[in-house]
Amino acid sequence: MALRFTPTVAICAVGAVVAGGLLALPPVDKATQPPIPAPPAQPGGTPTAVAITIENFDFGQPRTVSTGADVQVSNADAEAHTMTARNGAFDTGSVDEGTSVTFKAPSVPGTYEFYCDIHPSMTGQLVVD
Amino acid sequence: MTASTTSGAPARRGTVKLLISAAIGAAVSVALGVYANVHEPTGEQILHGGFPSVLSMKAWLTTGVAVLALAQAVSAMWMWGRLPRITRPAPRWVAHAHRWTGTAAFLLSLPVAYHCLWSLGWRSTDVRVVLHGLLGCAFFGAFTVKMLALRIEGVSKWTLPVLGSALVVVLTAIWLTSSLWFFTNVGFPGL
Repeated sequence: MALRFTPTVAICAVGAVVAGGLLALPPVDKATQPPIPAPPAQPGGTPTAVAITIENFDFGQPRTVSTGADVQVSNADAEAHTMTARNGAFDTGSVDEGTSVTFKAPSVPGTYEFYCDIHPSMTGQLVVD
Repeated sequence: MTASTTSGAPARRGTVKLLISAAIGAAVSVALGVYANVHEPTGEQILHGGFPSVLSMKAWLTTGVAVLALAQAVSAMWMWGRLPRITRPAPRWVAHAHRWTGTAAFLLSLPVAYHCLWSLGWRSTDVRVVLHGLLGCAFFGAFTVKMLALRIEGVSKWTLPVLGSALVVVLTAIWLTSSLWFFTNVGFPGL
């Protein structure tokens, strides 16, 4: 089986070797990435704001919040995500990479299952008490 | 008798070489699957050159690969005299177009596969994702076998059409489990 290196075979071989080499690269050092700002402080008497940071395709759950509290969802990943309740109680919409979105926690206590609408394998629970 | 022996030996050698090629292709598929499984997904983006997100870029690159795969199927059918209503033999440019569309399809698939393997890794949380992962690994194995089979003498005449058809089927399934999902779940055109 003489493997003649025609231009097309050579191009494919180079592409495969480059891609294979890149696969061996380690992840970028997270410490060099700009930190996501903390949620704004709430005035006294109002429910405490809670921050959820999506990182490495993980919501970092479980999370407990007070009814009506501000929930700030920050996306530290390089992909857009959503935080969408299965029962429709809340939905951040698309949270782009490096940005954050704030929504009000439901006013009814309970455990709310949520997921990422873009990556349905990302799931979590928000406990509202 | 002599002629029969002479024609039988190259055929046997061709079959053995084809089996070796299939083993190499299987090794490529398994290696990619193992890498995806043992590698810690980085969750990081890659360059998405002008597209609003990596997922959007992947959806469109995969669509490009699927279109090129269709062009591959049509040009191959013409070269093998199986194109309906086209009776004249395929001109030489069709063979060139077949090779270059195949090369372009392979190159377009590389950034997609790279992001899947390096950034996302193997996932098994729903059927679509599992199917997509298996098909992605199978594609590069099948591509390897096809490239090697092109250079084997003495294989059955059905070998290349079967391998080429398998690649088109796998690519179509990959498109259905990725780009179509993106366009129907995230948005179309997603740009």
